This record gives sequence, structure tokens and C-alpha cells, in this order.
Amino acid sequence: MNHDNKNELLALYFQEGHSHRIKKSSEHVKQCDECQQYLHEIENIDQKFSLLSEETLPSQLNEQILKAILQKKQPHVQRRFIFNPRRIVQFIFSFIGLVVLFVLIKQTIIASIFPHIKDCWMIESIGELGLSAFILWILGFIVCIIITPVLILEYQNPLNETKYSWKYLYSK
Amino acid sequence: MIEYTDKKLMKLIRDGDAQAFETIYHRYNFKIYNYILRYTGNCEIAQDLLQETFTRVWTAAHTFRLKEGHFKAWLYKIALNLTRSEMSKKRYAFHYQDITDATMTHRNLRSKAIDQPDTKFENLEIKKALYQEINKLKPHHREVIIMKLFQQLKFREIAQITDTPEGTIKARFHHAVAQLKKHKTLFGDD
Repeated sequence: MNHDNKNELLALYFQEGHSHRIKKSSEHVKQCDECQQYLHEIENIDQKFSLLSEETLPSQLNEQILKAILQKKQPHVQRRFIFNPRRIVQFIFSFIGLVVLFVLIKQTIIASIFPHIKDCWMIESIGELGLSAFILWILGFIVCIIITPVLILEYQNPLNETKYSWKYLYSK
Repeated sequence: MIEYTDKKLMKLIRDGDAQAFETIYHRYNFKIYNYILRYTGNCEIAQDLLQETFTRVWTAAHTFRLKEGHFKAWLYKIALNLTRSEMSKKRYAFHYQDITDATMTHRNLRSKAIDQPDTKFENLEIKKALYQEINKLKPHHREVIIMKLFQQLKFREIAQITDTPEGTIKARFHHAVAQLKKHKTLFGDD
């Protein structure tokens, strides 16, 4: 039995994971003696450990601990605004998103804003929607050129060691 | 405040709210105490580390990430690090018997048959043997067994607490099971 199979058995025994995965394991176990044996071993160990009941703390001790802890002063942490380039990037992308929405909805208005555009060869060949997409692509390209240095700065910023930062992801 | 979520309480604790701290203490003290107790096997050490764990919660509340943080994992991580650090001093190994000797008298057993004198004696023996077996496990394996079988944490949560991939945690569990089942009289078929 390899580790993958064993992990499936753990998922089955502890009921962790997707239901279809558990159901599949359950069907397999019915036919496999080796898996049944392993499940039985886990169950046996689990049952034996359940004999060890949990300890309670005396209420007096709880009071003492709480009193001792609350006597300690919390460190005064000055909350300051940390400049985070990611916020700018988020703002830019939100703005682009809004522009895309606006353009896609209002793309038929382009012709009314620029009446002469109807005669443009581009409209004839790719249509108004195509033109909107082309303009957006150009805009996106320009924005990418602008934000690249910002992203590099963000990567180098030691304050950005958060779960979602590029630095965190690359370090993993 | 009992109905408040952990994150809401942590937000209040960051602002120095003692009542919120008491609520969170009473919510987790039992679990954390038993977790440390199983790990160290020593009541006094477990009480000290419990106090130290919650002192960290109080004094380092500002380091908890309210947005993406998971309080339970954060708390267990503090307890785990403190316990590991304490155990690395290697001066408590011989105390492991404390838990069986000192607490047998007032412990409630889950089995109803315990009232019978013979069964009681038998269970005491089993419990002693179980603690010895836990003590024999490697620290990483012991952690997983305690968190999984005693604390009923999910593998995903254990992985988060120990900063280890979930697959590794499961592999450790299998190793621990393999180690435990070597004791055939204890874990063999009844």
C-alpha cells in the first residue's frame, strides 16, 4: 500500500476531504483486505487513546493566571500608515476594470463621440468592438510599462512579506 | 462576549480589552493546557507554559494579522513553539510519569466500566503504557498524534500550525501509527 492510498484511508477514517473522494475510498475498502486491516489499526489506536480523558484546570489557577497576565502592560504600538505600492496597483487595475466595463457597455457611443470615425478603415475592418479592444490593449500595454517598476519596488520592499505578496510567493 | 468570533475578540484585545482576553482565555485554556500536558507529560510545566502562551497572546496581540490570520492556528503555534523550546532543554523527560501518577486519582474516565475495581486497575495500567508509548515517539510524530487524536484538529490545521505541508503531516501520522502498532499487547486486537 503506498502513501497516496494510505492518505485516502485517513480521509475516510477522519471524514476529511470531499465527499466523493470519501465515497470512493469507502467502496475500495470494502474490497481490499489490506486497507481494512490498516483502518482497523488506526481505529484501534484511536480507541485506546480515547481512554485518556482530558484534564481540567482548577478555577483558582485560572484566576491566578489571568490576574498575572492582565497585570502586564501591552506594548504601545504606534499604528502608522505603511506605503504599499500594491495598493496603487490594485487601484490601477480597478480603474482599468471600470474603463473596460464602461467601454464594453458604451462602445457603440464611440461613433457618436467621433462621427468621422465611421469612415475610418479600422472600423470597416474590425468593427467598433474590435477598435475598443485594440484601444484597451494599447492602454493596457502602457499601464504595464508604468507599473512594472512599481511591482519591482514592491518585491524589494521588506514590509511586504505577506501571504499574498510576490516576495512571499517567490520565497516559497 | 461569548458569542463573539475569535477575530473580533482579538481586535478588542489589541485595544487592551481585558474582558475580551478573559473570554478568549476561557475558550481555549482547556485545549491548550491538555495539548501541552500531553506533549510534556508534566502538570507543572503545562501550567507554566499555558500562562506563557496566553501572556504572548496578550502582549503580542498586535502581531496577529486580523485580515488573513487564523487565531486558533496562531495560538497553537505559540504553544507549540514554547513547548518545543522547553522540551529541547531535555530536562523533563524523566517527569513524564507525573501525568499518570499525579492525576489518576481525580480523572474521569470515559469508560463506564471503570467503576469496577479490576477494570480500574487494568485501565490505569493501559494509561500508563499509553503515556510511555507517546513518550517513545519522535517529537514530530508525537506532535501529530497529540494534535490529531487528542485535539481532534484537521490535518490542514496541523499543517498550518506546524508550517509543514499537509502530505508531510499525514506521512508523520503513518510513521507514528507504524511505531505505535509495534506494541502488540497494547494496540493489538482485543
